[in-house]
Amino acid sequence: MNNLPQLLYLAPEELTLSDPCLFWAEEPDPDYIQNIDELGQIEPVLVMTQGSEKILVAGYKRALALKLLDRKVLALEIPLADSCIKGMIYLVSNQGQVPDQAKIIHALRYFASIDHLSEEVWKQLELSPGSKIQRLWQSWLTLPGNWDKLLSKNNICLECSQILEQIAPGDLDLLYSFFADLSWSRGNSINLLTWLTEKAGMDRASLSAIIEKLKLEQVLNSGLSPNDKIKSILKSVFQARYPVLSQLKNDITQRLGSISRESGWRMEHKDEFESRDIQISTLITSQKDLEKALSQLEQIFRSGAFEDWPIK
Amino acid sequence: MPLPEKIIVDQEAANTPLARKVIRKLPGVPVKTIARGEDSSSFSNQDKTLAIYLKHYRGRFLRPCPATRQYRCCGYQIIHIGENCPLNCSYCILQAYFQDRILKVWANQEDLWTELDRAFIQSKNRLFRTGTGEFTDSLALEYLTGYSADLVEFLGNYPNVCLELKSKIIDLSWIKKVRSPRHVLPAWSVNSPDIVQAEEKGASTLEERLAAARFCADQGFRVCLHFDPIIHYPGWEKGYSRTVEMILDYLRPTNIAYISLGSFRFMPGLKNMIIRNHPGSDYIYNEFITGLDGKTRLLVPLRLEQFRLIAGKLRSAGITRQLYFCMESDLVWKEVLGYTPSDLGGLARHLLNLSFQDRAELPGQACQIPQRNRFNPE
Repeated sequence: MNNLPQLLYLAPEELTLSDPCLFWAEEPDPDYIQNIDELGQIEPVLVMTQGSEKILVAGYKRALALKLLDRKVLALEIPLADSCIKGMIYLVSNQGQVPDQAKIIHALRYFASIDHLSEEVWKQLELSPGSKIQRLWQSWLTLPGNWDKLLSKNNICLECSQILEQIAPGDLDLLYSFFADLSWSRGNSINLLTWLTEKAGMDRASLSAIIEKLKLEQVLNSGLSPNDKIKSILKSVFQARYPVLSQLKNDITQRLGSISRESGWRMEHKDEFESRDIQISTLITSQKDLEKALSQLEQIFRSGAFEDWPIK
Repeated sequence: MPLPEKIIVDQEAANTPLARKVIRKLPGVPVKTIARGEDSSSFSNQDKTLAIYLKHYRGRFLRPCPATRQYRCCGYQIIHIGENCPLNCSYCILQAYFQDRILKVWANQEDLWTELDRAFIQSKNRLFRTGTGEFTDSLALEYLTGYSADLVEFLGNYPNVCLELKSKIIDLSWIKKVRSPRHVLPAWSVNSPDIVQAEEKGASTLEERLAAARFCADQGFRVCLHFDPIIHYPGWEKGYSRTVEMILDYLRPTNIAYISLGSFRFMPGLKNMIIRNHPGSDYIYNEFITGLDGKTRLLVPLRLEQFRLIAGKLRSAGITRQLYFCMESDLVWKEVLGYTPSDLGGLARHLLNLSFQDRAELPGQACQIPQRNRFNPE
């Protein structure tokens, strides 16, 4: 009978609320506290007894709300277990939650720290063993813990993990500053890291050397807006990674811009120079607009601007 | 080139002459037989040892080379004899297609002969330009299988078929089975000496390939050379110039049926494989874009400068009509050669003409030919 779970009423002060297994511990918000206040505690928290301590292993938010309301905590005492079981109990007791990236990384770091990142843990987190997403998380776990904050803030995307894990620690520290205060979209962050690492591969140089050569830290520390910083950094890195393509793109943008300037026509080349195709378009809302557009097109034609168009 | 360490054989193919030959030539190598209906994927090579799989193939043996609408294809017909390659070329697409170290060989040759006979007899007034070097190297396993020897012997009965044997290694044992050298085109991939040395691990040197080509020419064959993939790397001008010089040292223009030029292009998934499997292969970091067919290609001005240099040198030496581009647009043809495949009556037709053309019809050019005879067939 002694092994059966016991229901206890505990004063909040009697509870130890700091066990690392509470990896998703969250402060209760005012609505939650009000809810507990009005409805009371409808589900016990889980505790384990270790010596004279009652260690909370599930129900942090409830326990804290009750503490703030100065009420006793209804607790179910379960047998003492190791860190792995405590973590699994915590995970299972929070099964209803859809974990975001911040929660997933907290859980993974906990189990990795006790060397128990089992298949069961991955499944509980709804990350299929052997899947691409699992591989991305495994890569992320190779990064220093301070990067987790950037992922939680969505300043960087998980897909970057496989690039980041290949980067030397010194370079990684330098890169950290680029993501610390700037929020990069998925595409931009992958492009930045891909182009930088590939440029370093091309030049057989370190990432730090490339960053220094392109004076990217100056842009980062400039007074530009966050969006402009990102644009400027990406432009520099793209130009370094694709010098000929950048030049071609610049040339064609300028050239098409000068041809279509002062007209309502938009001109674009979309095939990365694999064809000579130019797409021209305009917007009309009336017969008069059409007449005007045709006249402008006639002018463009007469200018002979496309006579020497081919890319050499 | 490494020897297979394991033989896998379909039970249905275990008694074929080809399977018996391979097993006999690899004494002591363990043989695993797969019963009909048994899942062959359970024999996938987890330990990554090199295995040869003698398979009872149920697919089509004769198939057209995959073409795309945007780039000009040469219209070659693939005779499918197996998949994967024991060579370890860093740029090879086969590492993406077949992510294992299992060399598959279609052991049910009788089915192959039946299908080929049906196709070539049914269309006996049609000319076929065929080859085996699409999903494997035509000769890399010849020492074990004798597949090319069997094939040239079989095709000797079909004067409407020309067979190209494309390789990066030297094995000329098949020559003794050739009835008419006019219908077999020995072919070698060529590249700059730097690329051959750094990126084509396990393959023969450029000198060896060209010496073998010379030997074939002396035996009455016309040969084909394939600059594919042309790679843009620091010093490529010197490297590819040297290759052209070497070609001209070994071969006369009249010895050459045709030469293709193909820039490095690949399925996007190959990039990470090259980075992972061949970390020194930094050509992968060049200026590649996504082409109109979804494959990754070198940016067109960079391709053009390479094509202009190589084609220019070959044309100066009298190799003109034999030149073609593999999977390039009319834009590139026009910029480099000044004409498009349409001006030749279509690329497939042009190459068919070159393949079947009597050697006497080709313009002759004088050049110094080293005296070599290292490749006497057994």
